[in-house]
Amino acid sequence: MTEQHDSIILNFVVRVLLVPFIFVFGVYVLVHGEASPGGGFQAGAIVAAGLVLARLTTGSEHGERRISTRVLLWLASAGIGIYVLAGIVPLLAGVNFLDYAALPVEWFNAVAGHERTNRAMGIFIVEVGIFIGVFSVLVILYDHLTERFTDD
Amino acid sequence: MSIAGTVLLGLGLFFMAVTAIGLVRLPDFFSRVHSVSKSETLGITLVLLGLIAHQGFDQTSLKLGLIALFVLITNPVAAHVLTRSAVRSGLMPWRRPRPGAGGNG
Repeated sequence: MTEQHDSIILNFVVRVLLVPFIFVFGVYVLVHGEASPGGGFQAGAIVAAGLVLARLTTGSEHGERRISTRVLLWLASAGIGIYVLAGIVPLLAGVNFLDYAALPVEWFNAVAGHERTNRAMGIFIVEVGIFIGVFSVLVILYDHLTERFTDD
Repeated sequence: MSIAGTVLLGLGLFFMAVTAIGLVRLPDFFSRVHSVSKSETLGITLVLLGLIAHQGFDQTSLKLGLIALFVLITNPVAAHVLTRSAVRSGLMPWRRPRPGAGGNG
């Protein structure tokens, strides 16, 4: 549990300028991961750094009200679940585990107007699962580490 | 374009060297933080401007400009927080020791 830092300069810069930009940059790293260095794990680490920065400056209580550890536990499980579903669904369709070509995602190209192959879509789904799992697990780790210090 | 970039890079490296010397040679915490926050911010900004001048104006130089902007924002804020918590915890600024007063300076 950390207290809110009482410097108005730090609070303004972190809450208004830095944390929103860090989140946008994390999503950029996630969706641009095919064409440049990046991907699910790196994007998750960046977004987790933004959340931990917010918790360090505005205090754990404020951060807990925004995204509580319960919600983060559900998010971490959902991230792993997305990954596993992307592997299980092709298995049910009669091909190998994680064979993205069998994923039923053709409708997305029609909706978004893209020309992506099923394999690219499958890799992106796995990346989103890794992203959600990594960022929520890292923030859960931070929450547990700071909780331990106040207990004793 | 390339000459301006090289001049900016050289100036930036000069200020970074000043930062490093100040960090080693200055007597106490406050003056060291001041050295890092002022001249290092200037040095990094000049180096990034020099890289932009070498690169020309495209997407890469836009990213370099964003890095310079965020260094300009975060470096003074970090120095502010450091010195503020040092003052809160009771650290006094360094004074020149009076001659004949003894002590270890």
